[in-house]
Amino acid sequence: MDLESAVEGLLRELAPQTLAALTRRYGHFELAEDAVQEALLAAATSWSTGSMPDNPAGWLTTVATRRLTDLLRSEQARHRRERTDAVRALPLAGTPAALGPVGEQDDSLVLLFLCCHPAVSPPAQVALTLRAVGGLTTAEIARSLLLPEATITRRITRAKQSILAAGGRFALPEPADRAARLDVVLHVIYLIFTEGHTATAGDALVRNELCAEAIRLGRLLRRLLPAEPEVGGLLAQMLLTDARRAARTGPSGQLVPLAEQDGPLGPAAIAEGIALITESLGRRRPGPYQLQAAISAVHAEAETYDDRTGRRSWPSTACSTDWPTTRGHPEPGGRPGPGRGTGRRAELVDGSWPIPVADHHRVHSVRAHLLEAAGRPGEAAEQYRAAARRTLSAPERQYLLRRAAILG
Amino acid sequence: MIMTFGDASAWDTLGLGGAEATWSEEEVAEHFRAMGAFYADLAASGEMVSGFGLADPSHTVTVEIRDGRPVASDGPYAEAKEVLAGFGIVDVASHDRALELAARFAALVRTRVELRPVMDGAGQDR
Repeated sequence: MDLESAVEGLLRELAPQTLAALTRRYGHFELAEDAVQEALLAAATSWSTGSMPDNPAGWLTTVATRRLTDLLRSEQARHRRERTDAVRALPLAGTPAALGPVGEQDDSLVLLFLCCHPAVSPPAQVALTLRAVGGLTTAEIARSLLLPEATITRRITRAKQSILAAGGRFALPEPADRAARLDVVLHVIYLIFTEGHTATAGDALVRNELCAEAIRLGRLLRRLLPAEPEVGGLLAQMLLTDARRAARTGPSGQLVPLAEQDGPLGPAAIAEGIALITESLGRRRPGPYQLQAAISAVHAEAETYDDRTGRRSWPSTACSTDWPTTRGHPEPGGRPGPGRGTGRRAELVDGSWPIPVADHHRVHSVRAHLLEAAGRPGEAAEQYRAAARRTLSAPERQYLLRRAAILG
Repeated sequence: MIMTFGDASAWDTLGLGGAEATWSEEEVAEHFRAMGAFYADLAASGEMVSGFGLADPSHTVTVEIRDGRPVASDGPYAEAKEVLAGFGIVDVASHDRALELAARFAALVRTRVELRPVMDGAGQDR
């Protein structure tokens, strides 16, 4: 590994720790987040030239604290100039501190919950999580989401204002809110993954750096909450899906659908994913992510990749279409498996979909696949074309139009 | 209780403010070494109770009750000429000894210090 990527890896690891240390000690999460970001940029510049400090964590905390002090000074000078008095209400009753003493737990979890605050919109949650917990720079986030840097900056600023306005505190959620808040965290991590896995816009189908970051965050969450089966389910689902990465795109970057994927799968990721989902299901608290991972595991486990023919034989995955649980759940990577379950299929084809997703290109695409499997090629072609008109991803559009053309 | 005072530049000299130290690395190291030695002497003689330096004054928050509800605001602001910079609490045999220690403290921090007795449990000076 070269020095630059070694420095980057170290900084990404230290970023949430530094931000948590500052927020714990000084409050002002919104300013501390900016201060840490500036300290990370300063470190990236100075460390990559070889001047690595003896104690990198201490160096970062010192520099970030100075930046925070400076930001506070200018903020207070502005208040004086404008003669404003920013008064904020404090909670009346003494709520028991859900935050333990320093060192008792990893503060990254507290940060994750704070960035995925329900008062923040999902796109802003994604941007803030990538920066505050993932340690990515604004420029890196903009590049991986294919958006202008100014847009990301605005989203992060707005996210922090919303958290402040909602009275978000640097503490774990109360036990009563815990499950709902964890759902939001899982959703944000999965959004990052699916955005990388099937980019919603642009010329490339897969943006590996987002997938890798989502898996890294998934591993972090798994380490922090090892007994939460949905955390294991999410990580397993991401690993099993990511294992298919190399097989999902053809030589010219085009989309290759599941049934035509021939390339070898990543064996280590599959073994890890299967072990994770097996362990998670054993806790007997099923949920949408475990269900999706279980389906992915069935595909991955039973597939036999024949080295001589270079093809796989497909198991029956009737369960994937017979199992109604995924309906209504955000499942951006969802697709019908090549199996049976025809009765269920007909119902899905003709049944009504939840209004908010009814016109999403994936709905038309799923309908098209189901209609094709049900032997209704005319309607299927129509749906493929409808999906092609709605997607912003060039490889997806080419794939959908190709399917429509085959059916006539 | 021995209290030290300073303006915002006091933190900047040691690099504890909003930028790198204005003193040289050697000066800063020497300052902390001398403070450490002073505290070690007090600990050895059994006179040390506790002592702390305070963070940059821009981190000050004022908390008060308005209309029966607690509210917080940042400040009072760092432009104030002199703010509390740190304090040491010593348990000494006499007022004279306390004055002697306050003098050493003043020489070390290079600012004015104030000395005030701490009240005991019965509400009386000691």
